[in-house]
Amino acid sequence: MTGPEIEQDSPAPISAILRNVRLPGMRLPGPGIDLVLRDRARLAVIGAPGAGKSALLLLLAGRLRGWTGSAFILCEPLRPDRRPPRRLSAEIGHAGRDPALVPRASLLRNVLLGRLGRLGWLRGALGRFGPADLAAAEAALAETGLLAHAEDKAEALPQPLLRRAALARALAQDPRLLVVEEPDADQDPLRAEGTLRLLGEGAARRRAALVFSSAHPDLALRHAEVVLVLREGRVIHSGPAAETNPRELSALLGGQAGPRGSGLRLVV
Amino acid sequence: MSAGPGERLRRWWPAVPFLAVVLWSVAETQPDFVRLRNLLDGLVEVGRAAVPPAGAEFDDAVEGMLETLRIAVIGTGGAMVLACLVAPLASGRLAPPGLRTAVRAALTGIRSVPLILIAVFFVAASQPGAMPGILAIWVHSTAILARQFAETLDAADAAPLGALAGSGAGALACWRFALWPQVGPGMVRDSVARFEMNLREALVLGLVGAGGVGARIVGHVRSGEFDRALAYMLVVVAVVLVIDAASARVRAAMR
Repeated sequence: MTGPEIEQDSPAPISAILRNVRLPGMRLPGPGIDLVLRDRARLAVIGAPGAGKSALLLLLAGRLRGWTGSAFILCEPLRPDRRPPRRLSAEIGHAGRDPALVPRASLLRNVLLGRLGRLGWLRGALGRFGPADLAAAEAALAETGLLAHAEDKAEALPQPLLRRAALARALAQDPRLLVVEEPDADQDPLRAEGTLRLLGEGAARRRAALVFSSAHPDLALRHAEVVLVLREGRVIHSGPAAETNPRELSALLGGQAGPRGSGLRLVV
Repeated sequence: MSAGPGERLRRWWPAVPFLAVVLWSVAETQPDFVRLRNLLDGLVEVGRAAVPPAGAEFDDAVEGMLETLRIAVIGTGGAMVLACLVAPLASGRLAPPGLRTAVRAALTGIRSVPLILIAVFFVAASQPGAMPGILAIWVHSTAILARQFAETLDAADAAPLGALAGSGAGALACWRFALWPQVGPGMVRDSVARFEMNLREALVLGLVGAGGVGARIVGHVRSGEFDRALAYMLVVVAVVLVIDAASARVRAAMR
């Protein structure tokens, strides 16, 4: 039950602050989630399915409604009942489990659409993307290794590529906070390692803070600076990744997988 | 796989009432083969009178066809605009359930009235001419297109819209880049198909005095000027063929 106060006295600016946050549908007794995310930090959120990882990430991306508590993202207060202002939304890049791409548009077009928040509403509606927007989109496609597919329509491509394209769209925003849901899901450890490295480099290049949830706790420990372990919408462990013992972590996670020995264990 | 007589009987018994109804209809109509013969003779006579078509009528025929075309264009165009406004109200996703049910019921009600009947009412309410024809097509097609547009809207994936809105894109930009690519082609396809049908319907509308080339054809047939009527019909067939080909191309491009 260590709190994340470790970072509170850090002199660096803060990307996100959560105080006593309760996620919707998880009204449990006891304190809610507290979190202080330092600027340019890399945070991995770990937990069993249903622990609230997705909801927490959506909240940090300004896309969750119906939570309680208080939250500040990039020094602006979030409200549980409405969308954050456009100016703030443009600073938060989000790639969820559903790539949510426009099916009939090319990957380049889809990634370019991530720049809409940087354009005024009129320029956006007219689709007047400038050279800087195109450069950002192409850079993001190059980083995610999708340049070869830039002209392919999203509907023609397989899901893993689409998820990478969604990541490219979030990177093209040049966000100050990058939130990515399970970037390593459905990938073998080698590929997952590559994805997480790409993510860390992409965030660092943009001087953005990075929050990701992970299906591979041991990998997440290696690529994050800070880890947060959730169970039933509450923080059961948080601290620097370097000081977190992978064994302890898997014990924490294993503890919620039901009675011991009741299930099969997959050894990769 | 071999079916016994009992099995065969079970499979074919629905044919019995069907055959009975057909036999009953034929018996009640009392087909008169002499009259049928007369009809065929009459048709041959009409055909002889119609050929060659009266070349002098082509100008007037083209003008009449253009009026019919205008009726279909304005009626369908107006219906597209109105249907875009009504469709969200009939959408299962955007409208509250009560409103949606009411709007859908109203649309179904309008659709169930044949277009020509609506035109008859409009002609009776004003006076013969293109205007009641345009209005009839407008009302009828709005009901049909609004329903189709609503279904297209409901079939669209909302996730891309949410993704763009969440990254700070304005509402207009979200509609244009995340919604329109999903619904636009389908809406254009439905509208073009509707225009094609309306063009043919507009020909018939002439019969009830709602303007266009149809009225002129009927006039010539009634006064026995079959060669003139044929000239008109040739123009109609030519234009309808061209429009059909063009519409097929547009719809193929929108796939």
